[in-house]
Amino acid sequence: MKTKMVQLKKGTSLLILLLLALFCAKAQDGGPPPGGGMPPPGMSDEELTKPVSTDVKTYTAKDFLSLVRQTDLRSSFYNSDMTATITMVSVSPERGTMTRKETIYRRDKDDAFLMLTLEPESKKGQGMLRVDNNMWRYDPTSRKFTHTTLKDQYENSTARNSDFRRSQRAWDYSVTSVADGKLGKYNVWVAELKANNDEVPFPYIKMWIDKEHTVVLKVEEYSLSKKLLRTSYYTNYAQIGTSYVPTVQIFQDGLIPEKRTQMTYTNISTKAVPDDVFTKNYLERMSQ
Amino acid sequence: MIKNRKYAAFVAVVLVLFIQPATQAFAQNTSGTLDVSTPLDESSMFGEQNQLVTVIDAATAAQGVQLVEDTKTYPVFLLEGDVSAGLGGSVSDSSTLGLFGAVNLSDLSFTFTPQKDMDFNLTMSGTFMPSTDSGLSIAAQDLDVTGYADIRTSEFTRFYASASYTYNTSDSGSIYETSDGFSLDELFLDTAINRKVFFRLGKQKVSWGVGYWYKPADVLSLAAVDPDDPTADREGPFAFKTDMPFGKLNHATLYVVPPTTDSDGNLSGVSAAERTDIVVGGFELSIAGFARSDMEVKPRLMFMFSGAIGDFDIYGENVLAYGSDRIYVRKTGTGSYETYRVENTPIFQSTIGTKYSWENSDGLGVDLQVQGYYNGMGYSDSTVLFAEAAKKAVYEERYGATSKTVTSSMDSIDLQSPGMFYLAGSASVSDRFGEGSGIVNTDLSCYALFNFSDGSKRLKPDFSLTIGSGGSKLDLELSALTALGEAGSEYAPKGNKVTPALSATIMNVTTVTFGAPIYLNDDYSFKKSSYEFSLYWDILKLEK
Repeated sequence: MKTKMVQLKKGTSLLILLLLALFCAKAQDGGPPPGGGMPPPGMSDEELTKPVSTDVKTYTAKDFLSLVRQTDLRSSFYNSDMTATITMVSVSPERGTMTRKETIYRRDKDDAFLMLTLEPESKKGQGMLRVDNNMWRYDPTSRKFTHTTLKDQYENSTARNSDFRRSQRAWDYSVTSVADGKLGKYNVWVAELKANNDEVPFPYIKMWIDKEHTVVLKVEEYSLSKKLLRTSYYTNYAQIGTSYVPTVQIFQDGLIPEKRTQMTYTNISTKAVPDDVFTKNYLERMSQ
Repeated sequence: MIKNRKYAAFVAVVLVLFIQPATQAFAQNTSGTLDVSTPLDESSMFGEQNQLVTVIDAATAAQGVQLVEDTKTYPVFLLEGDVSAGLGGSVSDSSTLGLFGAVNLSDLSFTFTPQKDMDFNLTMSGTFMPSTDSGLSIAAQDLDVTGYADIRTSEFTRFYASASYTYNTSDSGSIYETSDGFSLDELFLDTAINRKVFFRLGKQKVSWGVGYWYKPADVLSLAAVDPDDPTADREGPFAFKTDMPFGKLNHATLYVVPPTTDSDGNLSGVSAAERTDIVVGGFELSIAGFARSDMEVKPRLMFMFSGAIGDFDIYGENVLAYGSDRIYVRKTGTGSYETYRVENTPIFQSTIGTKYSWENSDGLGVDLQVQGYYNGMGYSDSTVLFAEAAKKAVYEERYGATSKTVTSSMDSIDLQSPGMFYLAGSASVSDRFGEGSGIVNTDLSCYALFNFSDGSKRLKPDFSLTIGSGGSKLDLELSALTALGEAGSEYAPKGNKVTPALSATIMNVTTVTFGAPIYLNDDYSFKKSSYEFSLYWDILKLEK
């Protein structure tokens, strides 16, 4: 009797596991990635592509959101993969000058992103993989993966994890005001935006968008109490087809004037990346 | 003899201090310059000289574009880490005040890269002090030397080896004591077939399980999770691993652990473990199985999951084993014990945990985590293991007669996680005030672990305060690791003990530490204590 009960329990457990596996296999594809090729909330594809007026007085918040969406799209690579080497130089009062070098792989159409640390030696092999809503960070010392969040600050610098992925500001923010302006020699649109979800690290931002190329030149990022936390500058872009890569980015800490990070993109490539790169196995294999 | 050892220690310190400038001269200078002494000038950044857009032909981009020349040359020599000098001391109820001068190395690391994809590294930590005693044991304390060689011949083919040496490790208060000596940490080869199937052959770390404090599904690791440092790396087996990614993010992984020989020359069984990871929406689900031919470790099925529901991350592990791996012990009379096994019956282990993290843009943050664990392989009442004789009976049943004292810290599956019911949790609140050079960050946190099967508890409240960017003016930490329970229990192996500790780093240069392990009787009255303190000045701080 006891043996039969044990067998029954074993059989039931196996059946549950098999059913679960079947369910998992069925549910493989999941839903579409947020912000993928979709227009921002409240906008149709038609509105997204309509011509933009050059007169700020005729601008509505939706017009500017369309413009922000265009900057998002221009900084994305939906028709190819993108690979680059990023050199980050960070200065802070407590640590002096720190240099890091990363390799990034992006497949924006799948919202897939992988980053591997090349330098310094003590951090070499650390990595991060993000596909849709799944994000893993890999520690080569313990050979362990852990979940992390895009809100994380990147290694105590003024850069954040979200600075490396494709932009989706039009998805995350709503426009509250628009104005004309000038930044250096460039004519710009200046807009204030408010976050429409609490997933973004900055609830309020102010953007300067170059009128000629429709690319972002400067972003001020504010806290909930409207304290300036960070100013980002995008001083150089590489245009590849219809996409733009900000090749020089400077992040100035808003609270500590002596804290600054500069990111420089080199070795940019749109060559197709093998599928196995966007896997945990690749992170593990390429780590130290 | 004494002279020779003192001389050796002296030479080691001198080498560290004086070779460094010479080594750095050869080191690759990868640091750029970033002048933060003046505010950024926007009219200059976006002025007449600025060329905002560089157009790159799409066909060229598909081949790769080197926008800035890569000036890296080989060989590269790199020195990283910190060196500080100062004095330390200790005093206890049974000893008088002792003071010593010392040099402390913190992760001092030397890396040699003769060519791309080839790295050799040696890292050393420890405290060196002059000695009038007759032995090197006084000249070096907490010595930890690790080294690795990482050689890649292609993206897929790689040889990796790492080893470590620890010496004269002081009592850290951890449940699991670190044993001194040499250890081979990893030694493996990577290879692959057509970017489809990937192999790792050799001794390797294997971290299964998604739990934080408790990982019943981590069947391949050879060392237990340290509850005071759950994320620390742990020794893995010699194994052949085959990994086959499929779908978008899924993996099928097979481990085969070949037989090993014990001290008597007997061969152990062959083990095999298969794990399939499937990603469904925001969840990762893992189904796994394990079997060993000699049944020393019982066959089992495992199911693990991790993901998020709303703002809460959740994770869990479930294990169904056919019998228990453990050798149990029970009391048969006054001071006498007998061992027994539980076989041919299903045994269930399950853990579930949740994490919540919230932070607003003004710096206020809250982190919470809780994990419960039902260990069907444990004792519902594990107080039987309080007795040294009980531990010894179990140990001798597995390893043969021994004359040494058997403690719960011993690396034995029969003594690890002896309880059946566990709960662990942590909470922290952090905040930020002010800005500029007066910016203040505070963090108040505590973790606690409970073994309900023997009544032992372990908790550590911690308060940290930093003033200035990253603590550039002051970095203060106060903590009190507390173990409560009877001597011999899991979380309080030495009985009730509180270890208040203070660490303060001033201007990123001077560090003061103070610790006072206080032993308490069963009624929490004072038993004995000792006091340790140190004062160190940073001599070298090399980029890490």
